[in-house]
Amino acid sequence: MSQVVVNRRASGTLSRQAELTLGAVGLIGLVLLWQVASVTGLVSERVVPAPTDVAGALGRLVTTGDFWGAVWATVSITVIGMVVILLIAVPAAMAIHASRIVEHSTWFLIEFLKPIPGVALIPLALLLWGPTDGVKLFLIVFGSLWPMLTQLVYGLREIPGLALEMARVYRFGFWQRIHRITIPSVLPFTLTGLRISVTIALIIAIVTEYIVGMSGLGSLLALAQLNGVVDQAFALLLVSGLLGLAFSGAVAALSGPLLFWHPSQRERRNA
Amino acid sequence: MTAKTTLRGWRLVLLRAWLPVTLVVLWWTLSAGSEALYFPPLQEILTTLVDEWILGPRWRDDLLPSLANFTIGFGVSVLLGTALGVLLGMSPVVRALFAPVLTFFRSLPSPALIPIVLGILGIGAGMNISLIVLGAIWPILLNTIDGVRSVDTQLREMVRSYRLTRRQVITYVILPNAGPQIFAGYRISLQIAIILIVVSEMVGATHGLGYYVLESQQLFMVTQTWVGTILLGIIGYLLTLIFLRIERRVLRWQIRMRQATGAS
Repeated sequence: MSQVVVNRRASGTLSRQAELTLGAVGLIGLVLLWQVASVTGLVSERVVPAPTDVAGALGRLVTTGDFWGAVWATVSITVIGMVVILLIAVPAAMAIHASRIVEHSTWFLIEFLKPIPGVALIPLALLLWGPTDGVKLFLIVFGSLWPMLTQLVYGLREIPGLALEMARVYRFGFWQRIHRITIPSVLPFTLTGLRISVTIALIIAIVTEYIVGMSGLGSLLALAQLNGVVDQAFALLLVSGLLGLAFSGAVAALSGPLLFWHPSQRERRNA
Repeated sequence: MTAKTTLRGWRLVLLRAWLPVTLVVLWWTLSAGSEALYFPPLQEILTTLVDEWILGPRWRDDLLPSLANFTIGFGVSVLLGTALGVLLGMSPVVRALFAPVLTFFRSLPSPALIPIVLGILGIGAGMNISLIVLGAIWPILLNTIDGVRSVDTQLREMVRSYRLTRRQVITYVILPNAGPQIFAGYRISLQIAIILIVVSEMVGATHGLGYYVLESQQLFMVTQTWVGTILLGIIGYLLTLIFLRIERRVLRWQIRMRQATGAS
C-alpha cells in the first residue's frame, strides 16, 4: 500500500520516514551547534547557557514541588477558561445565528471587543478586583472568547441547506436535528476555534502570572529573571513550549475521534 | 424560512447602533457624579483622555513610539515570515530539517521569551520589537509554507513547461496562489503582535501606552488606568480595521474570482 503511495507522490515531496529522519537530524544538529558555540565561548554563558546547563536546570526544576504546583496552576486555569468560553460561546453563537436582531444589535459590540488585546485589561482588572484566580479567569475568558465565538457563528452559517431541507422532509425533531445535523457541521469549526483560543488563553495566563506574581509558570519566569538564573529561564522556556505543544496536541487528538467521518481525517488515515 | 431578507440603509444602521449607544449613554449617566473610587465618571475619563493624549504631549512621547515599534515588529515578521515561508515551502528537505523547531516555536506561548529577550537586549525599543517578531513570525511562516505547498500540481507542471524563471514563478504563480492563506497567517500574527506590543511595554519599556497603563495602576491612578485601557482598545480596533482594509485590497482579484466562478 505504502509503496503505491510513494510512486504516486508528486515530485518534490518526501516520504514520511524521510521527513522524520531529517527532522531528527535538524534538531540534533541545532543542539550540537548550540553546545559547541557555548563551549567555545562564541556566545557568552551568561546570555545563552549551554544545552547541558539548561538540561541540568530542568532536572533541578522538575524535582521541586513548587514547579509542579506552578505548572498545575497554569494548566488548570487554562482548561477551566476553555470550559467557561464554551459555555458562553455556544449559546451566544446560537442566539446570533437564530435572530437577525441579535446578530445586528451585537455586531458592533463584538467587532469592537474582538481585537482588544486581553492583556490590556490586566491593570484595570487588578485595580478593580485585586489579584485573585477569578480575575485571572476573567482575563483569559475575555481575551480568548472571540476566536471561538467567531468560528461557531461561521460554522452555524455553513450548515448545508440541503441537509436542513432533508431534516424537514424526514420530520426530524429538535434534538434529532441538533444531533444529526448541527453538531456534525459545527464541530470542525469548534475545533479550529478551540485551537486559536487555547493559544491565546495560555499567553494571557502566563502574562498575568508574570506581571502579578500569582502562582504559575509566569511567576516562575519572573523569578528566574529577577534572580538572573539564565539556565532556569531557558528551562522554563522549554517547559512552556512543551505545554503549548501538549495543548495543541490535545486539540488535534480530539479531532481524530470527533471528526472521523470528515474528509480531512479520512484522507489522513488513507495516506 | 431560509431566505432572510437583507436589511439595508438606516434600518440596518439603527439596529446596529442602538445597543452600543445605549451602553455608552448608560455608562455616562450612571457614572455621572460618581464618588466610587474605582469607577470615575465617564466624562472625567474622556476629559483626561483628550487632555493627556490629544492636547497634551503624550501622543508624541508615548503613542507614536508604541505605534512605530509595533509597525516595525509586525512589518519585519511579515517580510521575514513570508520570505522564509516561500523558501521552506519550495524546498522539502530544508522544511523537514526545521520542522521540529518550527512546531516548537509555533506552540510556544511567546511571553515565555520575555526573561531571555530582556536579558540579552535590556529595556527598550529593541526588546519590544524583537519580542513581537519572535512571537508573531510563526503563524506567518507556517501559513506561507502551507500555502506554497498547496499550489496545485497542474500549475507546477505548466510552470515547468513554460520554463519560467524562479523569480517569475514566485511572483506570478506562487504568491498569488498562496495569497489567501498567507493573509490568514498575517491576521493571526496581527492579533499576537498587538498583544505583544502591550506586554513588551508593560515589562520592558520606560514609556509607551502599555507602560502608561501598568504604571497608572501601580500608582493607583484610577482614571488614568481607565484611559489607558480604553485607548488600548481603540488602537487594537483601529489597527485591525486598517489591516482588513489592506487585505481586501490586496486580495481583491481573489474575491472577484470567487464571485465570478461561484467557487468557495
